[in-house]
Amino acid sequence: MRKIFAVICILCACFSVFAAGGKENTNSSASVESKYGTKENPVKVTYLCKDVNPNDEGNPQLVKAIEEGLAKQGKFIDLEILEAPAGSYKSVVPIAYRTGQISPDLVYFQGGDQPIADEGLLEDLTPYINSSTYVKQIMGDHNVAALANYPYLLWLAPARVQIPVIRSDWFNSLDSSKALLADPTVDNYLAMFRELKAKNICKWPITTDGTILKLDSVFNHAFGVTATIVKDNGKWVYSKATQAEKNKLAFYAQLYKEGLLDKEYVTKQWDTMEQAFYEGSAAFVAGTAGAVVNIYNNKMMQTQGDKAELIVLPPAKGVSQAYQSIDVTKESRGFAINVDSKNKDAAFAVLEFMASPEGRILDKLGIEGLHYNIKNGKYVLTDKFPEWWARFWDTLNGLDTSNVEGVVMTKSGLDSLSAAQKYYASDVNLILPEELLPLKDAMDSLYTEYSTDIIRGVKSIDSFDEFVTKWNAAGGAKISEYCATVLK
Amino acid sequence: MSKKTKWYSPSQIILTIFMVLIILTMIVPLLNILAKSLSSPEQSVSFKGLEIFPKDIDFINYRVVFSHPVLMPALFNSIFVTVVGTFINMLLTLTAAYVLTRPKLTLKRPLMVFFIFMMLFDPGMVPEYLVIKDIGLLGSKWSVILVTAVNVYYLIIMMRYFEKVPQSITEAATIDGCGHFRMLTGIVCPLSKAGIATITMFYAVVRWNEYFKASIYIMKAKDTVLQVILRQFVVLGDTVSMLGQQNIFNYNDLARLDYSALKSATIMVAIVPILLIYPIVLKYYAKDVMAGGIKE
Amino acid sequence: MTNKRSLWSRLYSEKLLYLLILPTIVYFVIFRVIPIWNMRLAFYKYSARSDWQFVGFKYFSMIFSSPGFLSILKNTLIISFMKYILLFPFFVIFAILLNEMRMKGMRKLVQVISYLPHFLSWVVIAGIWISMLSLFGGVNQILSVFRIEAKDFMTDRSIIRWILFYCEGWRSLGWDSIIFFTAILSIEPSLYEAAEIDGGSRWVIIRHIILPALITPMVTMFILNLGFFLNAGFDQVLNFSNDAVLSTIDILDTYIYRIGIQGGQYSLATAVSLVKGVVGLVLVLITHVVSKRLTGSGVW
Repeated sequence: MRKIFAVICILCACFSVFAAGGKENTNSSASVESKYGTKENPVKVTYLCKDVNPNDEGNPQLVKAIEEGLAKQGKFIDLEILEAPAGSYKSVVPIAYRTGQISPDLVYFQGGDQPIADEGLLEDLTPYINSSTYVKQIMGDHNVAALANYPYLLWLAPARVQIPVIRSDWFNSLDSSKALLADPTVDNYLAMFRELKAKNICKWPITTDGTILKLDSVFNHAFGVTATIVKDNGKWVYSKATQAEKNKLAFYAQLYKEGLLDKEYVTKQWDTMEQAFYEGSAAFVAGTAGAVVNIYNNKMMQTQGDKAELIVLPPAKGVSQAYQSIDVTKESRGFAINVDSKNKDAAFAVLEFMASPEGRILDKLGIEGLHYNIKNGKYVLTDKFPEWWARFWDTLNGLDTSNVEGVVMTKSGLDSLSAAQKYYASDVNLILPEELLPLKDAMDSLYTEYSTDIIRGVKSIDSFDEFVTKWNAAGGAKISEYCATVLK
Repeated sequence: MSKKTKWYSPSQIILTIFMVLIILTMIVPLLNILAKSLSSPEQSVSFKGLEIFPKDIDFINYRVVFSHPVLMPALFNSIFVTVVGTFINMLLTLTAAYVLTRPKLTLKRPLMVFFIFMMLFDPGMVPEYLVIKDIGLLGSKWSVILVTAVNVYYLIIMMRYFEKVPQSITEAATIDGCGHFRMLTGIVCPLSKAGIATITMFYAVVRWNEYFKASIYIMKAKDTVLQVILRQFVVLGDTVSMLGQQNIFNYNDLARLDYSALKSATIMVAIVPILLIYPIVLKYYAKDVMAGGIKE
Repeated sequence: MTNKRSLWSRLYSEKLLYLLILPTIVYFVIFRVIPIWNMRLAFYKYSARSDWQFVGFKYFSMIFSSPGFLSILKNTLIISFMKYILLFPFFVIFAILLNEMRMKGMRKLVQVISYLPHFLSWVVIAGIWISMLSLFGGVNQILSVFRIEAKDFMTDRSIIRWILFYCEGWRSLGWDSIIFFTAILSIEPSLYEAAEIDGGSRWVIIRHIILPALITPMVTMFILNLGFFLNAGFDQVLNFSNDAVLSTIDILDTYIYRIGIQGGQYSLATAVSLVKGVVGLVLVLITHVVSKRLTGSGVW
């Protein structure tokens, strides 16, 4: 009996020694390393993004390279890419995240994030960004503005502007092209479209995918539609119900009537629009600056040959000149950090690393040996390079292309980016409270109905005044009052 | 009777032509899609709406569709969900219909009211989602299988078929000491073959085409069903996911691929498997439904 | 009225039946009743992590007072009327015509092919018909034979609802008429013999023998369809929508989907679902009672 008692005492003593010793150990390493892990205990960060799956080609190597890069900085992170959902990402992820079904540390949103942020489920990124080095450096002006209003989504990519493009061989064959480039007024644009039609170069000079948004990017400013919400006679109103909008719609109606605008544009979608463009039945389309224009260019050259390289056109000049105003009330998509994440600093460290020079190479150039090889200190792009796309930051900022051999982005793509920057205008808009949302929905439906009818000649342009009356009754007046309280 | 109206009488010929015109409107668009999917990209681009023969047969569209990384698992999942789901559907529907058609069932009225209420009150996406989540079925195929286990509309139709079984037979069987189980399997069901075949087909088609619930309840690509994978391409225009990141520039003629022909191939892949059960179901119809009509 | 003891003993004797129907009931309790209890969300402000805040009828008034709501409701009712009431006779007529066909081989062929469209999902059907109805599609090709000018059907607001009507019919003609066809088949042959002896013509037979046999399935299907009156076909409308015609075919369900689901307004979406359920229920109850008085048969 006594023996047993002694053994128990000794065991207890041993335990307490271990416990005390153990506690001391964790105490000392608590401060710095636990934030960024240690070699033995790396910190886990989970990542969820659209179209990025853990086993897709290149991703495992990317993860490894990121982890190694971070380790060199003394940050030991175990990055795990979660499998992207199979259905429509923007419908599935918000509800899954909000109900707690999924809980990644780093999550990409492409819509549906606003109610989630309102509930406080997304981390405020301001302090992290302020204390960062590289993220701050490669941010664009529009990113800064958006984050100031809505600090939950970070998206270091060029602003999503629709840039008009046309085949250079066709463009150079036109007489009106020089005049257009020198002075891109609305009339000169009209002359160019008319010439395309008169010379029978294509079936429809202009085409678009179901809506007039792409056209608006070219013509809004020229007609005076300078922002989503403008001051008209001292009152804040949506520009959709102003005289400027009426003039613009009259112009579009004219384009449609003269057969310059694709008569089937309403039922076209992105793929049939692109089809018409590549096969040559349409001459003038618009695509998002950067990546999309790049794809258009590659595909056009593959289909029609090198002579069909795309040329970027400036926005029309009139009351003012710019492409569509960039809405900076919030980013429309981007990465957020989960407010419940246990490893927020580590998560942001990953984002910061991808913004650093080393990370930029990984993000934009891909995997060594697959998408590029290093020869004589230069990054030589391989044939597989066009298949790679940035899993984090699409921007070209921060990427040192001086040692890169090969085309990171074609001239057309680069031109579209610089054009977007040159003709940048920022928008005036606000986020509506939930009570006003149904009103806005009704107003937008009304606008869609009238604008499509006016353009297609089903209603005359005079019915625009009727539209404005209905617009105000449907909620335009009420929302104007609300705007007056928010925008001073 | 057959002496009076011959099958080649004028009214019969007009009737037949009329009916054939109707089904032409049904079959021509389908043949058009099939033909388009089998044509080469250069030819399919200029395909007019009424053409039903492929031009320049080329399987490239199908090659692209089948090279989708998760197509085969999705196909398997669809088959699994359809077969297991329909089986569960029929099991529950047949038993419930049987019970509800027993004469003088005490609780018939309350049960019927209950079921009609269930049929009319669709809780909506979010309330249903919350329940699936709380049960823990989110992410599993079983969420889709179980959440639509009984369709009251079909249940009522099944009841109508069961009610046609002559009471004389059921009463005689009861007197002979036939229990409910044997009655259901040995008498009522065999006498309602047409109805059972019909409802089975109804359920199977609904199961096969289920998209929305599958897209929100099943997260992983390899667990989801065919319709989700295919619709991503056809509707949302997500070529990136369809062609796979790595394939996007692999084929030289990928740039010249006719997207609408590719869509057509996708559509064909989505409907061919379910059309295969068609002949099976028709077999059950042969005696009761097809040969029917006026007894010659 | 027999007393309570009789009731319990009756129930007890039917216990096997109730056991057989138990799985079905369990299914409904789990997957319907509990979600319906969750529909109380319509009266609360949804919150993912904290308690739901009670807001009463706030979301209901938001919907009903929204000016756009009336036109959405109008669209829903009109489209439903076209699909559930106008289209209904066609199914009956098709079944009767099918039965009248004497060429056996052709009848089988017609039957087999008429079922085909129903196998397709709306995505597919929209793809087919949007292309057929486009400016250079099949329909305009046929019209050009008759020298009629090509028309862009899909963007014409005055036609689009009829397109929905037609496509719904195209899809369901063979399928929905099966019920009626099998009902005709199960008519007692002796009735036909009697009519023949009386020298009745085909029309008489149809009026006095076939139609009465169809009353029960007609009433059943009609009343059941009414319960879905506020549905109007979400899948179809979503796939056929475009900017030009949205205002004419925007229905309750697409509205819920746009604002409620995509916009993350879950309580709002649930409120609309609740309204739909209540209205559907009321409609079915009323028509059931009326039909029972008039024709002797209802839904139960």
